[in-house]
Amino acid sequence: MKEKLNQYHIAILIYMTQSGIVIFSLPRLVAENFGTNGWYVLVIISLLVTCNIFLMQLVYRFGKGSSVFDILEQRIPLAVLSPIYILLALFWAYLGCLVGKQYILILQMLAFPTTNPMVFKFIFDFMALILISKQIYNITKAATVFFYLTIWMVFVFFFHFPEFSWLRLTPFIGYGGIGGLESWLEIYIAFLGYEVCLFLIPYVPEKTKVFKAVYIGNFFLTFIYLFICVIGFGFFSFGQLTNLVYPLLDMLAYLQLPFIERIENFLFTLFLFKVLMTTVIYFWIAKITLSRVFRKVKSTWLDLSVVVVSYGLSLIPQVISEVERLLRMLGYTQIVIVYVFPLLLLAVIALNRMSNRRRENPS
Amino acid sequence: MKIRLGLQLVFILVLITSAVQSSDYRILEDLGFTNATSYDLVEIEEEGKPPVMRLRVVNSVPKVDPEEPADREILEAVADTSKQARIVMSRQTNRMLVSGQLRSVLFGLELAKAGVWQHIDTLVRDPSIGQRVRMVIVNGEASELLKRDYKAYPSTGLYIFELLQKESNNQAIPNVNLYHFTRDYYDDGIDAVAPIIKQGADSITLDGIALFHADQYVGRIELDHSLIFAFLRGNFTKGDLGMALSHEEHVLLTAVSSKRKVAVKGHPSDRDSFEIVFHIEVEGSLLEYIGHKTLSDDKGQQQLVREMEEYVVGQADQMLKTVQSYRSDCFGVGQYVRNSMKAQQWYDMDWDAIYPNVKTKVEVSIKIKNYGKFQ
Repeated sequence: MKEKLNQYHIAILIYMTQSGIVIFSLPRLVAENFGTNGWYVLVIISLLVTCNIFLMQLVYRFGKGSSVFDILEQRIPLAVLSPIYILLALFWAYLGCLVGKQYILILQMLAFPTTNPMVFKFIFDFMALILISKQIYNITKAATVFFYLTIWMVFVFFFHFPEFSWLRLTPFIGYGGIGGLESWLEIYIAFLGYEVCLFLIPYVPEKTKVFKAVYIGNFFLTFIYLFICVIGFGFFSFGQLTNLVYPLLDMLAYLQLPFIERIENFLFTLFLFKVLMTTVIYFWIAKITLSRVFRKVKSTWLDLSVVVVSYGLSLIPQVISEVERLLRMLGYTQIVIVYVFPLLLLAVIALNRMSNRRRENPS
Repeated sequence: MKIRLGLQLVFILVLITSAVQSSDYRILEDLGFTNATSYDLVEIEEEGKPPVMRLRVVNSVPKVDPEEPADREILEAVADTSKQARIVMSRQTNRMLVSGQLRSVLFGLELAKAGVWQHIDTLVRDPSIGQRVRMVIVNGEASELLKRDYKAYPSTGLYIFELLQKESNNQAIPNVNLYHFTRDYYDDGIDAVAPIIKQGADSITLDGIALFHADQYVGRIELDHSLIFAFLRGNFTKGDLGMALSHEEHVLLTAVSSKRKVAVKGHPSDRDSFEIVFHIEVEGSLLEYIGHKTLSDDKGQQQLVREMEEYVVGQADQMLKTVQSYRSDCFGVGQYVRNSMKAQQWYDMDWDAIYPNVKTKVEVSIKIKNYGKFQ
């Protein structure tokens, strides 16, 4: 029997895919782009994301639970779709891969300044490969385990309360930020990952309210982001926050337990699981997209090609700023995709319905 | 199956080669964990050239090997920057210098007057250095103080750290580490502070509280007034306050806790009505009283409390005038003024110019929790 996903697992999977490496720089990004009390934009962006998820929910409802690929292929010939599929798969694989690379470059800065980062990247990608070679149900189970391995870290931020001051938040809203379109997009990237729900549809039993879980996952992420950003704004002064590359790392570095010091290195290593999950999900999407083109190829080869090709491509950006710039570019593109893709699907569904109706009533 | 086996083999092979090739391995015995660093400005004269100011850096690196004759290694270098100095110091030692165990940084007074930020910048930039590294100003040459061994005490680096830690716990000096200094340096409504130490005959002693304007040392508060300073700077829960109410009357409050409220009245544009009011609530146990009042009756107690309040108000007023004259907003008055107005007004205003002339008022209410176990 094919195992099916349930709500609880989906909510966790969505949260784990959305939250990734951006969280380390998020308080600074918000401060830089939206000035004092810039954390308020997280709420607005979260609402935008909710609207976007609603679009995807419409696809689910009108598509009657069929896979997005099936919907597309009903209308558009596979010959036309194939190159698009391959391009998209490459894009998603690269996106997932670069998220991992950014994590590893930060790890290098922290602990292994002279070791070749691609060695770690190899091990990281190997773990990803093991995971994507499983069914989505097993990936989700892994995500649930990883979730519990990392979520307790929220409580370490209570240690920062003695140094927290509302005074530092100031009553000013949005002073000293840029606030242009690019600013919005940059913060929006931190929320990406929820689009995986579109690809989960065929794996969910009809009765499960899959999208309720997606909304819950997204709200939980918003809550975590808000919590960390508000603490960041009260723990650091505004000027300091805009100068810290990874404020979250500095916050973790401030922790001190009576029996152990400098635990940020340990905590940062735990974030590996979160980042790994983001990478794995993008790899998985790339893989199932490729499997529509290469239907006869064994799935192990597809897994391997996704990982190997993206590993090869990830050799190109060498330094952390290049990786971040590339990730931003890919992120902007992905934002366009997450809006265009469901709209396209809805259009195809509408066309199908119209032609079906015409077939039923030829007069 | 074959593919999977092949992959596993490749994985193991890469793990082994990476472990062999990695240059980032550390062997504990080969490392020198610096636990204190000092920075001083020195004037270097070379023949035929005008004198130049350079940085003297001293590192105190403890040794763990019981067979070694000395319990620490002292490394010294004169260079243009602290990281350059580290390279020079590295040439003098058989161990690899690392800064992950750094506990305190010491700045000489001359350097503090010139500005400390560029040296702190390199400390907060380095991911191996913790945020909790204590920062202290040395009245005199920091390098001299750090180089000396103090017989009756533990190794100098540790001695300084423990002294600062113990004294900041009971508010004798403010608790200042790299995080605090950086935070206040970047905040436009408060100025940073730091403790001052000096070299005694056979020991190190606390010497006062250093006041900063931006990153430059501008003045000091004497230690006798450190609790008044703590009252004005924020809330705390543990301290001892000794008061000389008159020549014959002395009081000591212990287990003092204090809460501070700051109110901003009026607007800076209207000089006459603009006023900052500090309201300080103090609680403590009276454990020493030398004087003529009878502490067992209410009247005597009330009279004493009133006199103590007057004493604290007088001292606090005096201190506010002193720090204003140094242009150091060490109590964060600016934060409250900033939060009392619109953003544009605050950023258009030159707070640094207004601050020295701001009217301040202190209100104190003291509550004595108990008078000890003797009437």
